[in-house]
Amino acid sequence: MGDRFGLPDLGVGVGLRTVHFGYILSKEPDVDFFEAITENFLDTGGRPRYILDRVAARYPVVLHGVSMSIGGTDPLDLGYLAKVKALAARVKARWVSDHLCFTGVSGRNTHDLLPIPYTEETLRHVAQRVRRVSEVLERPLVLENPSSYLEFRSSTMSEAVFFARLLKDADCGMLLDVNNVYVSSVNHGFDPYAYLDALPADRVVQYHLAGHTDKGTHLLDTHSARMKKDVWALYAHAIARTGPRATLYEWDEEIPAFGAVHREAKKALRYRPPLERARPVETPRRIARG
Amino acid sequence: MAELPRLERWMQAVIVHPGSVAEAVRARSATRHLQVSDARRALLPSRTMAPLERLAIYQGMYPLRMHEALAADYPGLAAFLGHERFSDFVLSYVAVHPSRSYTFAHLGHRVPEFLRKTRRFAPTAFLADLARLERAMTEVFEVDEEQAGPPPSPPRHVATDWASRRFAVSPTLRLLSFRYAVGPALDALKSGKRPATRPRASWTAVHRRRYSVYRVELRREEFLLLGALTKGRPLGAALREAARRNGKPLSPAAVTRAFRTFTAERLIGEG
Repeated sequence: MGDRFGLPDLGVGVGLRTVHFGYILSKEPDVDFFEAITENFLDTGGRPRYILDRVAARYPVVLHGVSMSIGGTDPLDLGYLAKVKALAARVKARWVSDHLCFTGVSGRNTHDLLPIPYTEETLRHVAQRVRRVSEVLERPLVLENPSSYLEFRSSTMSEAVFFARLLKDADCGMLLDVNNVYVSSVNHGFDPYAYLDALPADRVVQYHLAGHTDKGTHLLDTHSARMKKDVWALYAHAIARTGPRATLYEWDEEIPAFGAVHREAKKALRYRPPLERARPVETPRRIARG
Repeated sequence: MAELPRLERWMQAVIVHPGSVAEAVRARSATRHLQVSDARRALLPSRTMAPLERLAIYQGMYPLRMHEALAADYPGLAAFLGHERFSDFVLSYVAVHPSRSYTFAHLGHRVPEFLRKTRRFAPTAFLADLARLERAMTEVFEVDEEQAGPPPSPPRHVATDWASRRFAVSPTLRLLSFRYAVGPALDALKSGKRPATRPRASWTAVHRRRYSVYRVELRREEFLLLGALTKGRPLGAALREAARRNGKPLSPAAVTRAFRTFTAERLIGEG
């Protein structure tokens, strides 16, 4: 059960975060892949870029953006897309993802993943932008479902139905964040399993896992602490539908040592098989190093 | 495509408004896109929250995100002002200079200028100097390594013809002069101490070596001499220029000390 784009199952990865740079470079932990936040590496030529180059030389890397504003109504920023494309080529990114949202309008960037109404009008608008981005990047765009805290009265379809239609209309892939599905399901009162079942399994390219915080009146997607049991159950359900897909653990607040994040990520192996890796043929050391 | 742009502009106007969400939906910046009565109807309530309470979640996160981004670039300024005043500063700053980029890297470009112009945050001149130093450090950190090139190799000892010798200068070097001793102030703030804020001129070199940013406090004559060498002047001409700007020749001891500093810190090297 592969995805329809023939993209590889990269195994179980961890988000590349500044606090772990030193550890990753010096210890070269046995991680299947890393995901880098695209914008953190676009306009810097210093240490962050150097680190990403080193990581990309050792591990498979995927790029995950937060500023494409695919649901926005400002024109697409072609200069930004050109930089994303160049960075993806530089680090041999297996794919490039962003979020189904808008981040700002009228030239501003709020740097938040803001929700959009799920209407026919929005669907046509976003699908056309996704196709344009895929043309520019010369690869299918992969889109993540963000967590959300409000719903528009004007929406005429659920997020799951919108996403399912968008994936087909725009011929793009999905980064399925099961924690976001859970957070939104509690905040909006829908069945998270029905959400997962509404998605075309062959469009799912990657999974995101993370922890959230219960604020009493709503859940907040904080990427802090460990992922909750109910969300692991959702992941188990999803991965049974799609088959093994690249799975990445995000931890962005009160980030513990790398080993703790990696251990949490590896819990995914309870629900999916480990990555089959080609083992190098044993060779004399002097030749292997030559 | 008429409804989506209107909703997005309205939502953004509410989110970036510095007041409460109730004030935000009534503000002209929001009502030009959606009237208050329509705004309440635009969103659905949840089981536990009213529509505007849900919108307030996004509105509450906006200043926190800006605060975090600016504090990362200006840790000294944030420490000096303290959490509440720095938050106040952030809201004032992003109201005038909101992010217009896909990255936070450009958000703080105009902080020194903003502090100078608004004069709302005291001591203004000290804070503007401190921000200028922190800005320079961020810019040097971001410089493209391929453009920067390698640091100069240590200068060879040459016994003769010293006056015509030229030196390579660290390609990432920024030379800064201040009315306040903001370098030591930044050190104090980093160790949790309150810095002196009385005027005391200072001179600083900021540069990068092997992806790490270094800050070197200079004496005035060192600053003048390094400035002249940066222009590509041979040593003799650089010393004359530094002497002219200094108002008197640099003493042999001062020149020796300057070269020790420049070479030890890898600020200059073989030309």
